[in-house]
Amino acid sequence: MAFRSLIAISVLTPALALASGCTFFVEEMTQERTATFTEGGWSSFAIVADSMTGGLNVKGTADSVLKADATVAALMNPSQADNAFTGANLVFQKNGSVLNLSASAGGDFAELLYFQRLRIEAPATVDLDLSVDNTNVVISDMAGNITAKTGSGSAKITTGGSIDLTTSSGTVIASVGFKATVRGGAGSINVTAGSIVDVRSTAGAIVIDTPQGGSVHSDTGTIDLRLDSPNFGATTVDGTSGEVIVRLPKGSQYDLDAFSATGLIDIQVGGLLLSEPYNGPVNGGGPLVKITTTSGSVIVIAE
Amino acid sequence: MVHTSRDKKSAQTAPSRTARVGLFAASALLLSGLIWAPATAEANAARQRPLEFGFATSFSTVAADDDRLWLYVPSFHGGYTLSDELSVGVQRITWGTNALATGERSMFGATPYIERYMFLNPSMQLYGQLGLAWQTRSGANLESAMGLALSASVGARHWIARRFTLGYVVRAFDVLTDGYAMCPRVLPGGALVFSGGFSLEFHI
Repeated sequence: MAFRSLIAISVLTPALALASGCTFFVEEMTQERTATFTEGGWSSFAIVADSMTGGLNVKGTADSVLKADATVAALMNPSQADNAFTGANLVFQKNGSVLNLSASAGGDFAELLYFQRLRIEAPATVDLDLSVDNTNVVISDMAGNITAKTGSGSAKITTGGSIDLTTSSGTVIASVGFKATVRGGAGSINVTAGSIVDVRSTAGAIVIDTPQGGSVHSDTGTIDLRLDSPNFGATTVDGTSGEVIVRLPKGSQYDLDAFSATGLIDIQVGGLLLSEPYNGPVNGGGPLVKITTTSGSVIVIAE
Repeated sequence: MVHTSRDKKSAQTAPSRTARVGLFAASALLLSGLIWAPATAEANAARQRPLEFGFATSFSTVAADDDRLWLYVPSFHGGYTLSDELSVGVQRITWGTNALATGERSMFGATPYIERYMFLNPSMQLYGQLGLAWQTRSGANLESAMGLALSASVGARHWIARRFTLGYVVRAFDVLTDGYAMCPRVLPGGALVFSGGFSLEFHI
């Protein structure tokens, strides 16, 4: 009796769990909303909108107005769909120099409304402040500074300004005119910066191109850093178990401190051919390039 | 114009839901028969260690435009075994925030319940629960609100070393008030949610 029961329970209960996961009398309803903000006197645009399955897309334009195109959604009984979106409109609020976008919602269904998708056309020169957890973000043709928190969604950013981006597990692809500050988790990070970088990741692979260097750290992921100008400044690259590759311009002058506790070392710069730690000048010396890992291999090459 | 998930792929979701409902009904009927079968006379681990607390998570889905939208509830719970057949406690103790169009909405909730259980053998415990889920929500530039829902569950716990249990549960959840938050959204009144989930409990 007990054995047959155990077999039955072991089969039936997971079947029940799989069979469930249904929600009745509820579906996702959507409706489009658009709005334009034509007033001046603001220099930064901010939005908080998490879990948007359709993503956030911001495009810079030469216009001085901001246009928003949103898909507003609600989990509703289809029979009440027409009432659900009554009073739902996009709302701009200007707080000093910051323009915020949210939605107004009246009536009994206000609590059910959320953004599913958001498309913004903004003046390219404004700054952006985005908190869009668990949402894929695409920002293009901007020239201002961007501050963003993306959670598990991916971020693809092109701006002539600087970025300050935090993501827990999403991937990051960024082309930045000035400084890039990125805090990543499990997702890969690929940054091309016009100035210094400050990038930290727990597990994601990091690939960086920068003319000025900066600070790069990964707990377990790999690092591939290219310093693409001979005028770079002091640079720190710190890994743990992942491979670290640092590519330096041929003929550039710097001090090199390359060390790995247990990993392989391969140094091929400035006439040096070493497979052991090195701390000293290269091509006469200059700003310090410090590379350390615990068990990951260290490769330093000139290109 | 209001778009619904029926505008897209409705033909694909309808048969899937019918099959799930049919499988659920057949399984529920058979499992309920097992629950009401005579209990084993062997030692009752739940009476020996009547106080339990643990962590659980449950999942469900809602039909959406491109696919199905996942709903989930991570939670804590605690309970006490009163007799050879009955337990009481509070489950789905959970809190968090949902992102609404008007801002961030905070919520806190719990579900007091009563449970009828039986042991098929010393390590396999079956149970059925009835509960009344309660929730409070605030923020997002809206008035504070309270949510109520009826909760009915059937499940099984596998006892390990007579101190820990791994459990799985299937729950029917009927929203009685105008809204009830289930991460990451707020469900409307009248929503009927079937969810599956797993739990880990410690018994002392």
